[in-house]
Amino acid sequence: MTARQTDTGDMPRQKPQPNDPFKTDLLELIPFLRAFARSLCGNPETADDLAQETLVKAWQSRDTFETGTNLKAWLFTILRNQFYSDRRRAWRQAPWDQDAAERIPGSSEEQSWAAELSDTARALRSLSDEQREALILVGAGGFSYEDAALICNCAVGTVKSRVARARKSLMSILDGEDALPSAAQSGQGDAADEIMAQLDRLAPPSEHAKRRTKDASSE
Amino acid sequence: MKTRQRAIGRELRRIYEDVAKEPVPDEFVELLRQIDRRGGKGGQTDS
Repeated sequence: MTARQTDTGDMPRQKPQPNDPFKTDLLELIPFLRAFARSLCGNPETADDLAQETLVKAWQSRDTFETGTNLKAWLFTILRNQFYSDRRRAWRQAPWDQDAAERIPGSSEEQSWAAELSDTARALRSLSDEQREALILVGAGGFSYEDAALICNCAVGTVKSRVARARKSLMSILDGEDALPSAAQSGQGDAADEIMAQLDRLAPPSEHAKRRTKDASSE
Repeated sequence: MKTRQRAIGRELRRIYEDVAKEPVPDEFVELLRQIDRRGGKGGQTDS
């Protein structure tokens, strides 16, 4: 602690000097914190708030980080804990309000970002939190099942089954069997159509399947 | 089945990487600068 306390905006805006390796690493990992936060929250602004809270928490508890271990996994653990604790607090304060906010894109601002999402991104929103986080960590974030289990504070086998169920749910949602939440026109290519087209090319229906299709054609 | 999983996997990575590739907003850099100068252990963050 220095004697100078006048840190209220009298400094010119500049990038911090990367003299502290911990800080340098934090800076490098911010993009991934934002990506994970976005996948948890959905809403970009809430996600950035969460990522910023995470940085503060990480900085405050930097003494508990063991050098040489996985800093990214450590940060993701903090972020995830913060996400659930923020949400519990919000529930306690205004359960009805939060509940509505979780289910429905309330403000027009939220609707505007929801409309930009691809089909897969929207399908992802309709998974349970547990399945979504496991799938993102392993399927997009490149974490091992072991690291994902550490981050989610559960057994490796639990992560594996969550990822498997998440993949299955996503496929069934993209098949269009389950309604997508707020399926706004995105103007983007349709991922499900693309996937189905690939499937059709690879696996021409067998005679048996053709008969079944004919029989069921009135569906 | 495998092809579909791969396609979905690609899309998931794209969704994640699209955010990760965004330039880091200034607030983040500013925040790190501030907490650094406060010594990190201050009670400033308990709003």
